[in-house]
Amino acid sequence: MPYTFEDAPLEVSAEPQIKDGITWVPLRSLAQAMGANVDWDPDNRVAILYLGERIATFTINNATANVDGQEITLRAAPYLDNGDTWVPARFFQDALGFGLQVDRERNLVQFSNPA
Amino acid sequence: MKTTQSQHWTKWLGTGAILLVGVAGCADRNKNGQPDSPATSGQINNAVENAGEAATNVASKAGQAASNAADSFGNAAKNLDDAATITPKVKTALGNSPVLKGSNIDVDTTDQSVTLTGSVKNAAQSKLAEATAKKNAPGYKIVNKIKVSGGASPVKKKS
Repeated sequence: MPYTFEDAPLEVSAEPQIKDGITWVPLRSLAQAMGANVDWDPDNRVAILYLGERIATFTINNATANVDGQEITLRAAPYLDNGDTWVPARFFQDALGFGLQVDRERNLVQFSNPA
Repeated sequence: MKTTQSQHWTKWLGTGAILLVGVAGCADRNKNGQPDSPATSGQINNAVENAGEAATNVASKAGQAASNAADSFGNAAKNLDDAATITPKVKTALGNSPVLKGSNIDVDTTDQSVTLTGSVKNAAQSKLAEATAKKNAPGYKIVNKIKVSGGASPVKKKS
């Protein structure tokens, strides 16, 4: 599998995508594999991530996300593809503090618990 | 405040004890005011002892009552303080959310619960409002009475 968490493989519906030098991951599928939940607000076209106590919102085509009430700037704006919201993999590291290793040659994305 | 009330009670009870001693000393008097049989020193000592004990008990109860009243007052003040703090905190958090910004959600904090009322367009917004309130009011029970009015037509669930 192209995704691992603490070296354990994660069941994620789609492989990472690389666009414009950014590694993208499918939010809902990845979050569910990590034990989190994602809701979809169709009126605002916003994906809402619930990860433990953390709450993050992603607006499609908007590079500004909101994490626990604070605005953060993503490396690029999330987009919809194949029924999932795609976000930069680095979000998990930059905003949530997870460890992240991206091996583009092997198309491998490795997460680890926040330090 | 507790000490002042206790001292006040003790002062009055001390006076009561002295009166009781006086009454004891006047025991068994005839209609001319003369004692039928003079009170013995043992009887007087017992009366003094009993009066002192009664004074101590009442003073103790008064002190406890004052302490309870102070605690109740403190708790009430704390609840008011919490309500005054929690409501704007939750409202601010709801307003900071790009999803809930501009929504018609009211927040009411009472004792140990936060009640959300109003309306939003879909279930995801209602759930987010509840989660946001929970995050910003730790230890409080969140009562979600938000009505989902319906916004965009239902679509296949995406994320």
